[in-house]
Amino acid sequence: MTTKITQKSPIHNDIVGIGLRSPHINSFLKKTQKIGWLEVHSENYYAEGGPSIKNLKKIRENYPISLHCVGNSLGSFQKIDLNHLKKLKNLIETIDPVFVSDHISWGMIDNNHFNDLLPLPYNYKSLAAIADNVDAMQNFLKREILVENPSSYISFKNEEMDEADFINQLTKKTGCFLLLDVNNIFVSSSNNKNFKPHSYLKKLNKEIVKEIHLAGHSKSKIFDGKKNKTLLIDTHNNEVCKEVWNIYMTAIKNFGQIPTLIEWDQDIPELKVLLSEATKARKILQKNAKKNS
Amino acid sequence: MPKKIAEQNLLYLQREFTKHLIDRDEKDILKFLPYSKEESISRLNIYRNNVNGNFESVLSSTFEAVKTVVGEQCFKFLTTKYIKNYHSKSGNLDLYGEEFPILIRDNLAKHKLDYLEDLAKLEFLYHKSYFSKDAKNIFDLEKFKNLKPEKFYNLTFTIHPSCYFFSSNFSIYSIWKNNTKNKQKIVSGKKEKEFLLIDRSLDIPKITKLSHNQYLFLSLIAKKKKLYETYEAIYKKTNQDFDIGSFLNLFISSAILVDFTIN
Repeated sequence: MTTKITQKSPIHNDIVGIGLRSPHINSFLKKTQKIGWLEVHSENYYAEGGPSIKNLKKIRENYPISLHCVGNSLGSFQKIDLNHLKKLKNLIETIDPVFVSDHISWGMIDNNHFNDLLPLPYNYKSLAAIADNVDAMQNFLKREILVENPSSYISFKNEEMDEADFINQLTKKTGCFLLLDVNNIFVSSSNNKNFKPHSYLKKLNKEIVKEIHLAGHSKSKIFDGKKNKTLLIDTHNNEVCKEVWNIYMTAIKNFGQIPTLIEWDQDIPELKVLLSEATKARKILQKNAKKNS
Repeated sequence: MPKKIAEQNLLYLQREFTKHLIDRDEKDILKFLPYSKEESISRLNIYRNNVNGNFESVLSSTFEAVKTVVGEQCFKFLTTKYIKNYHSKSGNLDLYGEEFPILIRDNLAKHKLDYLEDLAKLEFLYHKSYFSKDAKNIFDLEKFKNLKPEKFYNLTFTIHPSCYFFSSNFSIYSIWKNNTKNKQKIVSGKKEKEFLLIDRSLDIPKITKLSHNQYLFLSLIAKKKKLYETYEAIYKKTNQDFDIGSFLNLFISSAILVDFTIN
């Protein structure tokens, strides 16, 4: 059972944001940029002091900020680490974020952390484990969280449901919402060939999507024993590709005007490149809004 | 464990998955995957590369000078060994690498690079200082100046929480200074006792060379020793008189001492 949630102030006017990364911090401290909101990786701000958190607090004065976690290991068989959650709670109290999110993945077992987003088999045992941890996290934080659909490079034998079903059941069981990562849908679908992006979107319950992520990916060759295959890797080091923009358009059509974020984590370009990607998303949202008005 | 139950068990799957990430010869995870052996291994390599890449990148940025001194290849050997033997204990990586100096000591002792363990320790303290607590400097200078002389003896002080003290038998400061910020000049580990203060009292972490007496003074003050106890302990140790007033001036003006208590 999840705790009663206090929904934080929604993002108004401009619902397009970008991921705030260290090379751009000074640009945001120097002057106001044309962007609706920002998202940070919360684990980068768990220090007890220092310039990082000081700068974030300053930037928060001008922008709504969302906290995106990578280290709670929600899908672990092991119970969630309360010490880690305490750090998140402190940060939430400092920043007052619009959203708090983490991933449908795991990264810790037997108290050893792998600090990565490892894949879960989609079966009832995984569902029970992640639901318990999501419940624990929401109860501890006394707020709803969003969970992000992962990028995956493997699927497992004997899975009992597909990813969209898994998400529908998880959100229903716990009252959490979905952070829909459109690039991850494209990457996982291409790598695992076990669903089609548009059917996936159709299958998801409409009311669960609260935030959308867009990002770029890269390609890598693997050997299957007979021939080479190309896998897509969720590197966040590129512009959003055409196919992902197309899936995004369908997502917006299905789920409505959802706050959308451009992520870029490696080979980070000048801020203007991210802002230009944000403009592309904004145009799609505006076009969709006009159609529906 | 019977095969069917084992295969349905999430704990078992997650253990086997991580065993394979740590050691590619551990292959029980493959039975959970619907691919050929080669393809399963290739796909799992993506996760291994991500995990190792993250850890390597943290170690590289924390131990920049060590990396410059030993070179890319040796550093890669050390990080690979570290990742395999010292697991991360937190969902964030602020303190990842704490045991790296131990690994260096255990692996490079025979290479006559004795100073490397100290260099790694120093770099970790610098890193730790960056992440340490903030403190307001509430040192009331007027009140301090107007204290009656007899009150001084029993004063204790609060040191900025980002301060760490470090001593080495090597000229570790110049080695550090010459091997960070992309400088390539390698200095040999000359035997020369050094005393250092690492702090972030003015926001940016810095390392300062201290005299032996200054080092003793700050170390004792940090342990909440009273001013007279500090003076006596240093005098006993060094058998030298020294100007405690100049130490106070220096460390108050540089915001190392952020408060005092009259006992």
